[in-house]
Amino acid sequence: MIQMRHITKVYEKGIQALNDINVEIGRGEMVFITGPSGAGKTTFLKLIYAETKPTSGLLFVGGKNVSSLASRDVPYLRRRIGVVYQDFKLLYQKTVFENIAFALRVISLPSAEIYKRTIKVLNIVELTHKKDAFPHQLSGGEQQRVAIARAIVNDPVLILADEPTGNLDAGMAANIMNFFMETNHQGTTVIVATHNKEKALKMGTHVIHVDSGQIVG
Amino acid sequence: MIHPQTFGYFCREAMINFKRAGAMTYASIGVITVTLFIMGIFLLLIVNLRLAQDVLIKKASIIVYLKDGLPTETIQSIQTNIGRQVNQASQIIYVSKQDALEGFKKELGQQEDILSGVQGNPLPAYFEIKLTPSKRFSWERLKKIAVAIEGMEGIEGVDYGQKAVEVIGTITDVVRMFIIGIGFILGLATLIIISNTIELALFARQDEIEIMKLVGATPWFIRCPYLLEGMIHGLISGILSIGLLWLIYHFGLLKTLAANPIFLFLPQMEFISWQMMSILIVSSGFLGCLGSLLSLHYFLKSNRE
Ligand SMILES: Nc1ncnc2c1ncn2[C@@H]1O[C@H](COP(=O)(O)OP(=O)(O)O)[C@@H](O)[C@H]1O
Ligand SMILES: [Mg+2]
Repeated sequence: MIQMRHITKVYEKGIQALNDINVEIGRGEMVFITGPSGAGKTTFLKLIYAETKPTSGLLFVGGKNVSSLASRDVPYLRRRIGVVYQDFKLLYQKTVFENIAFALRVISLPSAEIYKRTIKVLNIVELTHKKDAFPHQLSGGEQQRVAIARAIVNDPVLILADEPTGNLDAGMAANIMNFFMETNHQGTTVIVATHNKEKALKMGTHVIHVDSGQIVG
Repeated sequence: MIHPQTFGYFCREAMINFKRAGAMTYASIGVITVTLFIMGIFLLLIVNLRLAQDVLIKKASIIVYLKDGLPTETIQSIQTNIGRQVNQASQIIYVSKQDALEGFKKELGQQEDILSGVQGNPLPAYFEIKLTPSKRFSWERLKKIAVAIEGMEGIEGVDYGQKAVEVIGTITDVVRMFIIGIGFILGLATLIIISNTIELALFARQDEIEIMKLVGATPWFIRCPYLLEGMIHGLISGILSIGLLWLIYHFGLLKTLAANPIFLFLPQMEFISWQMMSILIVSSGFLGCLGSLLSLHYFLKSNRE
């Protein structure tokens, strides 16, 4: 699903976020990217959904060369990837329902289909009763679940989650993790970035540990 | 190509933007309306100048003044020659020196005694040619006939309303130049106003645009509601300005003209044509679209570095 060959990312002012990363992530894998804050986890994910370009190296996502992807092809790549952002990136003037449906509107699905799929994922994240609420009326954990619902609503082949349990209590965090495991069991490749190395190791799956932009361990 | 439902979504989004921008939207529409209205005034002017010129030409007659003391045969041959220049239906009337004086006296009426100090008959004999011009009869054609007649023997001079038509022609040319210049400036102003209004709306929705990009919206999908919004600004302004122009024309101009006999020489007035109105409205809609497109350019630049 993902191949990184000698990927290096240097931001402006010479800040080196990633240095010579070589990674292979297979289809249907569940992978944790761990590392302390500032290690380069978010940058790793951003490269995959083409939010930023690698400074050097080759990156393939689903067989597509993302390191040299034309701008006009970026939207189509993103439609196959569901991203849960560290800061949620919800629209605060739209309802929960509209926030989730948003990801389907941009691909011009028929209304009935949008409604059906949105209600389905609202069920999955157990937020049906809050569908007409606005994000600021929700708790951090609920907002997190809206972000997850939006990420999965168009059945992506790849889910990227950036610290998805960051502001959740232990119980809710476990719920969310179980949910990702569940989705993964159904065949979706899942990559979760987290600074919590112990928890990741406990999940017993593929763990990539980064520090200062390099893979360690 | 666009799903009707997606189009519905665009319309809803455009309306939301429209309402959200509030006062700014109204201010922008107001300013553009006034801008287009000024443009409309000039169009109205040119339409009516052309109409006046047309009417003058349609009513065209040529007065051919004869030299004094021409023998009858010469006068007859002049009449024959004039007959060759104009079409069959035209009337050629001969007015002798005596008839001319009588006519003048009649015109003077009670002020006839003005002529008491005048020796003899100072007025020349003349031919009055009443042309019955065809639809395509032009100012150039009239001039050609007049010049040909003027070249004949025994002619003192011709008068075919050249002054009036020429003056109107010059004014029309000047106004036309003005319209081109002003149209350019006003068009540019409209463009800038709309593009600024949309840019404000875009600033307010920057997060939304970013998220749209992140969930895989194509740049055209993001642009559409804003282009629609710009177009609506333009169209509304275009329609309002024509409404305003019509009110001014109908209740201002026509009323004033009717009350002032000075303007009676203007045989009729006309409002700008449907075609012109459509062009004005469509081009303001187009300018609105273009304005949006310009401001969107900055927001939709790819930020992948
Ligand atoms: N847009 C950016 N411009 C400049 N430097 C950045 C940018 N994003 C991240 N960085 C820097 O790159 C490094 C890695 O950041 P990040 O990938 O966000 O790490 P993590 O997600 O593991 O905390 C940090 O030093 C951060 O300051
Ligand atoms: Mg991060």
